[in-house]
Amino acid sequence: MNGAKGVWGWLLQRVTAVGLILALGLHLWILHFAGEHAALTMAGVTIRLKSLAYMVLDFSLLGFALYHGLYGLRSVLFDYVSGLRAERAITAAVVVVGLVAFGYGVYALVPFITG
Amino acid sequence: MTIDRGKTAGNAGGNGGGQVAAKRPDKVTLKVYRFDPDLDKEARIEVYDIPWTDGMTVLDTLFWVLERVDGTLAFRFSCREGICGACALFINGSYRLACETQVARLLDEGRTEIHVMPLPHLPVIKDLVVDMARFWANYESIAPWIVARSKAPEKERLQSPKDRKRIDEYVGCILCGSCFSACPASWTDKDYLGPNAMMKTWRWVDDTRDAAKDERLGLVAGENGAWRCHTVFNCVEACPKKVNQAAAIQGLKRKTVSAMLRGAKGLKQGRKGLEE
Repeated sequence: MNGAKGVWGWLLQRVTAVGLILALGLHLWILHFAGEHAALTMAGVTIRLKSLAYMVLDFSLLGFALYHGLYGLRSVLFDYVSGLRAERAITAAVVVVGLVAFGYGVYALVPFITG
Repeated sequence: MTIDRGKTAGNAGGNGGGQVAAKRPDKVTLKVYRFDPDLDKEARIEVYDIPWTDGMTVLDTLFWVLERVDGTLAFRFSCREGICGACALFINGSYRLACETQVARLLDEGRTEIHVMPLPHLPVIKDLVVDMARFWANYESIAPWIVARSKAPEKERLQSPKDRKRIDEYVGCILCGSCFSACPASWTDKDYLGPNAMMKTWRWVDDTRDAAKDERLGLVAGENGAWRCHTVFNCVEACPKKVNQAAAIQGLKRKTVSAMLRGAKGLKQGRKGLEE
């Protein structure tokens, strides 16, 4: 094994773990305790999502969760394969799943901004 | 030390000694994993009744079988005093050194039988002897010797007792292979370095006399190295010498990130850079 590969990938998983704790905590606090729109109604959600800060928080939460979870999944899958080729295939598959899932999340949230 | 059978824990080696135990049987039942690839299609368990004597270890019971019942029984041993690591086996569901495991202790644990199996998840060569080739190849790959780039001193490279104490635990590893056998990532991924090779890397990274710390980090910081460790702690649980391999691997992760952030050149050089 040569050359310290995968440092940033692993580090980013740790960073997203911290990000998840903060973003999820904030998300739950806003949902349940913040202001008059705390109630879980369609109108309340719509008003919240008009806020740029809340939208950034939601996109961050989506990104953190996807990266953290999929990196973990990739690590587990790596246990069952051998060789660079198989590892690259798994990484590619995980990246595609992550991008599609993030795209779908964006697709679901954007109408609240534009609508 | 003389102990009356049936009155005390009867343990001169310290394993469970000092406690008053229930009367022990005159014989113990030994169940041993047997497999000869030249003769057997499947492994089997052979049962032996062994006369129990004070101070008898599991290794002694295996010798008893070898000398009196079946001279073909294969098992590894060398020092007989818990230093060489050759006799690590899976005894009554735990990783133990056969030479250090008192039969009395197993009886005190409430067992009436002793089950002796080879180290799990490693290919069996014969009976209790497993193929350790991958374990040793991984160990060799981390260059487990000191790399000193300063001029050789007249006598020896000194180290303060305080600095030596930092690596005591890891130097204490006797390379028995229990941690490697217990690690789930090692079971499935044949390219994975395993807990022992990485813990031994940490032993050198944290050694004040070694001059190739960044290069060493580069050897283990990869998809088949430190990042693969899932921190399951099986290695720590299995170790007969109570070495904390997981903590060592976490140390490697921390130091690698730190080296990467300061742009350490050695990280990228691999084994070649270490031998220059």
